[in-house]
Amino acid sequence: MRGRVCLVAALGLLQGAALLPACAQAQDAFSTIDLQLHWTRGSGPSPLHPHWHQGHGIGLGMEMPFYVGVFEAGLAVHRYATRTELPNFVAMLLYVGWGVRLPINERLNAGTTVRLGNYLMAFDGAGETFAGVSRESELAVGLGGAVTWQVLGPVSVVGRIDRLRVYTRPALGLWFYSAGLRLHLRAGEGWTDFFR
Amino acid sequence: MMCRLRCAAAVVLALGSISDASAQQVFTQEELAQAGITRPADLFRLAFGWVASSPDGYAWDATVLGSAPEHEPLWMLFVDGVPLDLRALGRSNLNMLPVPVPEICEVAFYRQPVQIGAVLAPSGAIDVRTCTPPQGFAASAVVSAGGETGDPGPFRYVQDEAPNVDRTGPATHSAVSWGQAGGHVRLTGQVDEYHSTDPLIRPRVHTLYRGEKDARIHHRAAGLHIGSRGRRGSIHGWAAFARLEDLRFSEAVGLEVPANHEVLLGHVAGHLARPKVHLSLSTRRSRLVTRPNPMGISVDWDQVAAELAVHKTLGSALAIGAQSSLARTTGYGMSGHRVLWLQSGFASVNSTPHAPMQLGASLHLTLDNGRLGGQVLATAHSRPHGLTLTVHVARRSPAAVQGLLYWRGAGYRPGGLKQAAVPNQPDAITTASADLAWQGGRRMKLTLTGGLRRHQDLPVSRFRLDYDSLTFGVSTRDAHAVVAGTAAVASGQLDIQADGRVRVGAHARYAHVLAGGDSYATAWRSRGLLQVHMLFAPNSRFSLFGKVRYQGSARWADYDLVAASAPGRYVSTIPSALYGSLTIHKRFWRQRLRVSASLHNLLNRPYRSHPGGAATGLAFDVQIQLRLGSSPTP
Repeated sequence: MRGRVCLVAALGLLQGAALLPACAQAQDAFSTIDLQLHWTRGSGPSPLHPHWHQGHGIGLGMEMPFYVGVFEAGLAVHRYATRTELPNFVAMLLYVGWGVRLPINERLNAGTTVRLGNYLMAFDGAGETFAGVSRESELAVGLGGAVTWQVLGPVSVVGRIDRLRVYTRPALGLWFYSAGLRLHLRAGEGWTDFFR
Repeated sequence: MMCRLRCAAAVVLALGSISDASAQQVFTQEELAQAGITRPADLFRLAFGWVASSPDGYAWDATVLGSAPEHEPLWMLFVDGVPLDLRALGRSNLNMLPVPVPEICEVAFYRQPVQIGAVLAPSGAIDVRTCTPPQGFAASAVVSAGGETGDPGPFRYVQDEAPNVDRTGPATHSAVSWGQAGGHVRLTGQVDEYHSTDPLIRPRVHTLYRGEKDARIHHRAAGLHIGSRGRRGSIHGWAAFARLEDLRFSEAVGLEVPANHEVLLGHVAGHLARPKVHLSLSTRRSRLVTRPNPMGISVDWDQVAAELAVHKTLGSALAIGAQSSLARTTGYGMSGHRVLWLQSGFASVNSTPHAPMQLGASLHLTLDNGRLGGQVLATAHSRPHGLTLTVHVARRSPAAVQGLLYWRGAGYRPGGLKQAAVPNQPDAITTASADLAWQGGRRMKLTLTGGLRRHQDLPVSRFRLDYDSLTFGVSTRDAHAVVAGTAAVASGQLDIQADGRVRVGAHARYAHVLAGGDSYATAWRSRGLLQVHMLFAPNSRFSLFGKVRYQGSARWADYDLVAASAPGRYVSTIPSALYGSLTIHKRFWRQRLRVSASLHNLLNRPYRSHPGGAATGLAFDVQIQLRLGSSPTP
């Protein structure tokens, strides 16, 4: 547990440390798009664990240079399987985020992001067996770190670790480990114009 | 941020308006968007020096801290310079305002007495200025929604009791307009809803509420604005209707009463360039209709009012004017109706605008239902020293204030209150205030203000409240009083314009009762307030706005017995609280699309503003606005 707290603190510090060079760096906002596809696995203790098992998930996102740092948006789908007779549920995180990236060498860079989103949970067959509500949604705030390695032209591989806090009562503190691919594209004029 | 002084001079005297500009705070349309304002009442927590309380998070009672006891809203609301009274049950819900927030071009908050047009507002004012539509066709639509965190999520299936909590919206505002050089037409519409589901108030709400599964407040409003302008002057007309399907809590009743509040209003206002004459005629019908409820409680109320105001400027130094209003009121328990006829005439004079010492004074003679009274507002500003003195003295009939206690005296018995305990109305209420302000600095502007308030024969609504375990509400007995006393207020404000991208503003305010009996002292519930605002706007398309608000503890003596009987549900002292919020605002698509997201109560410590009200934790809201056509102009 202490290790995970240290990890969150380290991600926060990294974000703070990376902010200064990011601020100093003038960039062309919304001029490129990085599309990302992740496979995700949830892990770690949370109040959910006695009742549900965190399964695999997938994530789809995009990242663009912002006025300072990078802007990202996306969605992630996570599956939770019951350990008892409670309903299984699928959760979808719809988020926007802001972060910074620090180049380590020509092909490798590391970065952190803070995310703000909505965690929508849909329960299987809930209308028939339980409280009659099949969906719930709540505010979610996340902090994550990623390492990206450019393997071939516009294609990179990405490894991520994310801490997500969903403000249910009691709050859900969830960990996710992800691996995936990233495709770097130059944005069209209409796209850039819309976002600016 | 957010304290933009309109002009360098500290005394404003133009076309009959007098105020100390250092006690004035103006928010532009852009600033309202940057601060994530979705409803008019959100402004109370943005404006410097105002304290507000709400049982449900939707209807807010507000006052300038230190200007008047908080029981009744003595501040005045103006829309485009014309006064608008939204009160019912002695309280004014700013969210009733039939003007969508995106159509507000400018709103000014006054913390001291101010004269706007022919009307003198002795305890502060809010002046809402709507936008003049751009030339050609324009349309805008806004959708906003939000909620409080703390829903049970998957734990709904695990816990025995897992209530859902408040949700805001969805709310939609829309406006279409057509304009040209000589005039414009604008049509607006608003639909809003709010879920009153906080566990602290939900059982009480469901005592009388019969309807949807979760109790909801619905607001509907529509307005038509027509304006014409030319070389000889300008004229505009506004007709609007607002309906609030409300769950109105009042100490007078002790429960949330399901009632529909309907306001139908219209005004015509204009000015002639030569001679310089301003004229406004307004009419209003405000009706509170109780919905069927199992206990047969009624708070019915109906007021029809018309008001005529005219003022004329004579040269640059003198202004004269008159105001006359006629109102016919009926209420539950009143035998027949009551007619109020309030009249006043004024003369204002000021010295040369650019003189080192600027002086301004306005004398009002009033005739309130046949009772003679008067008011004087005077300001003196020493430009070299940065000092401004504002003095206000008033002696007026209680009919001019029209507080809840006045109507109780006229027989109004909301919820069936007994008639006997209402004290006799005084012949006149006397108030006097003096404020001395010093302002210095340019990029870093500091304003220090000290003031005194003296009240004589002031009726204050007080109740003896006991816990009612059957309804979870309170049983009420009148314990009103007519009080006298003196209070002092001190405030400091710092405005920093760091560079073109960063603005910081801070305001601290403290009120202290110097003299007066227990009833007078307990009428001042909140005593201290500290606010800090920070805006980071690297360009015109993106901004981050953060605000921190510390409110000192507030003592509500009427709730002592209730809090002792039901300590989990009621309190009599609201502890001090630190409240922070953050808004991210971004424009897209060549400024046609605007998105803002706000997080409120970042520390996620349940925040309670009313002793019998909801406790709100971390909450959020998102607002999306689409605007087609040119941008409107102030």
